[in-house]
Amino acid sequence: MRNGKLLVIPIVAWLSIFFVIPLLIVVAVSFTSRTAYGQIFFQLTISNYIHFLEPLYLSIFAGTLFTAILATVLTILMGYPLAYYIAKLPKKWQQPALILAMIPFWINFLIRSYAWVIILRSQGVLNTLLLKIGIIEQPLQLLYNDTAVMLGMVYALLPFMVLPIYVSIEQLDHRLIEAASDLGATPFTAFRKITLPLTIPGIAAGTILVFISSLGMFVVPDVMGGAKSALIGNLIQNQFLSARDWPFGSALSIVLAVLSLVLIMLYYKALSLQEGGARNVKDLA
Amino acid sequence: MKEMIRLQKITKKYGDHVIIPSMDLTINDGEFLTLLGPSGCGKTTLLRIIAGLEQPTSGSVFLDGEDVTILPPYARDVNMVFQHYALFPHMTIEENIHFGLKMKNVPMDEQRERVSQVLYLTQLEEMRKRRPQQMSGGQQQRVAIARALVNNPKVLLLDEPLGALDYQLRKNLQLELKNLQRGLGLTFVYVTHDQEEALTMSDRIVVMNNGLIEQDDIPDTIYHKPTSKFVAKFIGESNFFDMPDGKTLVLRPEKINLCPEDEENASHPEPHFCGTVVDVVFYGTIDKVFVRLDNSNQTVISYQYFDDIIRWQPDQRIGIWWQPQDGVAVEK
Amino acid sequence: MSKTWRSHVLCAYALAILAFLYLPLLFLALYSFNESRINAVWSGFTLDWYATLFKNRRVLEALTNSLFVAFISTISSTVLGTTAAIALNKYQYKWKPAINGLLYMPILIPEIVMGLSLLVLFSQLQIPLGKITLTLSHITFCVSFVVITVNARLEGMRPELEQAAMDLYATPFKTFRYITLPLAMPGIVAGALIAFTLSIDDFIISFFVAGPNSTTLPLYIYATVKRGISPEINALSTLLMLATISLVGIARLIQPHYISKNNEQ
Repeated sequence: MRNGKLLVIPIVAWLSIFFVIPLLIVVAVSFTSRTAYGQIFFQLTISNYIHFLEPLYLSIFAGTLFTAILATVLTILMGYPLAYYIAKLPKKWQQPALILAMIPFWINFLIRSYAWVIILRSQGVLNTLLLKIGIIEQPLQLLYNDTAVMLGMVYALLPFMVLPIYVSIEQLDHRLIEAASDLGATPFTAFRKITLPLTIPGIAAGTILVFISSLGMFVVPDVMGGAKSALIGNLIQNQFLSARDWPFGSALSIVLAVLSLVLIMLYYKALSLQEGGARNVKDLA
Repeated sequence: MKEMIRLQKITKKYGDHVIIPSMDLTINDGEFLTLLGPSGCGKTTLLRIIAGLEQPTSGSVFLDGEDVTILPPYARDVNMVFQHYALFPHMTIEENIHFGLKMKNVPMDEQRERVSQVLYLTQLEEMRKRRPQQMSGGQQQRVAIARALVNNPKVLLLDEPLGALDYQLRKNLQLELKNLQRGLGLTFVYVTHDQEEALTMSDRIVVMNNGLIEQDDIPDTIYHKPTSKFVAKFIGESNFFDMPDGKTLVLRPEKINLCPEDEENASHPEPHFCGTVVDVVFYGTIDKVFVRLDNSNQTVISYQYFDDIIRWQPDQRIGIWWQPQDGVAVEK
Repeated sequence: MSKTWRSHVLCAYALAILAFLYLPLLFLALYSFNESRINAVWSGFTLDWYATLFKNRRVLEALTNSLFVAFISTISSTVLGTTAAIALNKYQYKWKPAINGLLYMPILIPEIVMGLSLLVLFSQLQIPLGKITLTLSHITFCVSFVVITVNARLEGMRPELEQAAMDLYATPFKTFRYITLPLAMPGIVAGALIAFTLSIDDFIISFFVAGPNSTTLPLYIYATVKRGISPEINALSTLLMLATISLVGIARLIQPHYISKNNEQ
């Protein structure tokens, strides 16, 4: 097995061919223009990036950022108490409870968005129920608006937040809390001064996961959103599959990818500065 | 005496970091040899070089007269008992013990016979179907020894095999191991940082420090006649006195005698120093008496047995003396 | 504020969030058994939608495609990922940070970017979109998860076990065959199950690289959902959910506890 060291070559080669090179091609395409028939025309230009700076696209970009921030905040508000609750359960209940919270993570966004369509559509579960008990007389338009998209996003991304926070709370040395109460801290003060600061790495990991996933999201708005609730993901999808403006779509996805990777790098930098914290993203596997 | 292992000019470096500068050592057949030293002194590296798990940077390893330096571990007739036993968790005890024989393609009949012999020897017969994780530390230890012994190795290498066990169990297993080694007449190379363990079990002790041999002798000599200040410090407690000729005089606490400062007509030599008792600590069989010397601010420890009638008290003025033959002069 | 009062509130909140997570999925499953095609009113229990599902030629075709792609990409990514994990664990690499970066990037980058970049690659190479492009893409996004899963097992394994085997006359090949491989096996199986789940469940990347004749189950669901709801899709989604949950469940169950490093006396 003297040549065992070479066993990484297949995977490195594979990922170079099917991951790195495609990305580089996308970078290249983002600097080209297209012909009237949607074909790529090789001419070095930054016009696609300038195109992106038009008010229409900037507002979609800003809307995407806003959606991502709001989704992150909401998942923290919902995910933290759930993670805290699970981490404080008796040991033998923790694992089942965590699995329960994580199962939806494995079901794809499409099916989970569709589940909400069944509930929210005009002849859906909720409207039928409200009509039946006489609260409303006309079905409400619950779907195909920004609120529905936000609901779907939070629903889709919540498990991403729960797991890292759970890990950081679970790793917390319980004696610190005992020491704090011994020193006269009320439970709320102990939480605010000890638990919360020490679980920031978990919140940060969850934030990264949720935020980046929201940036690239296109399934939820596609299924649950209206014409005006498009996010940058939908815009990219559109450039590739309907508008056939690949150079512009490429430029948009490069912006998206760079933004995501910069956020991840900032996160790792912060994590390495703050010695010993939550475990990283790979725990999700 | 027949030579079993010979290490010739062994050096080991990791990059610029020198673990063993140069080492020559001969180990005899049937000997219980202990490599003793603080952690990081190179003793485990040396053991792993003998096992073939590490390659020396230069030098040669001879096993039973044959140069095995470049042989991989699986081609050497030595077996190792690892610090944390390294039992295979996916195999039963019996399968663990069979492993070496199976790898050597020993005929099945012989395998069975040898395994049951060694199970009997280590009193593991009733646990043959268990898995390592269902056993206590002491039992796992026995399996690790059985798994090595079954191969009839020329040398058994033991890397702090009792390190993970609690005190009482360790004491018992020390005796068991020593008896086993004597009974089989097998060569043991034993690595430990526990000086008491080394003194109890070994035929010969090699004290190591920074990859060098500090002293290589029988336990009695190592204890009573340390040849360096390091050995005297590392093994047991010692008192050190600077001598006019630039050397250091080593005295074990049990060789330091105390007498009242104003004692008259004493039958022993004149006190060497006078001082004040600082503290007396009860240790069961002995009292440890700490004496601050008048002239040098040095604190001397003396062991006093209870049958010595007098029990010393703090603040008492006192003289200390020793028999000339009890002191050992070593280099500073 | 008493302690029990506070913990009751927390408990209620946690249960409400779990309900929020599961109720939609339960409704989805429930309505796959409802007789009414359009209305949300419960009109009676039926298995008809499951029956029509299994008679629908396009669904069966999508199922075949999904399974075909999942099997091939599971096997390939498991082999690729396992060899890499073993090598990375065993040897020192000067380029380790770069290799790790390469392995983690596919997980961290937005899926849509990976999907469209593969689309661009295949179109540049003029490879027609179909089962082949689908399989190649699935291997690419599965392989990192396999490496991570197998690596987690290997990292929990004491290196002394392999050394002990070598000391007991096992050649490197036999050491691998009798020690490394059996001990890593639960990790490898878990990695394969995860790869299979990811592949069978993938929508986003498949959306970009599938051709007209290589529709998978999620793609079929998407196409149908865009036209409105249908109880067959409820039935299909329910089955897909069950498959996913059982696969993940099995992957979790086979995690062994005995090779953990902190398991010694």
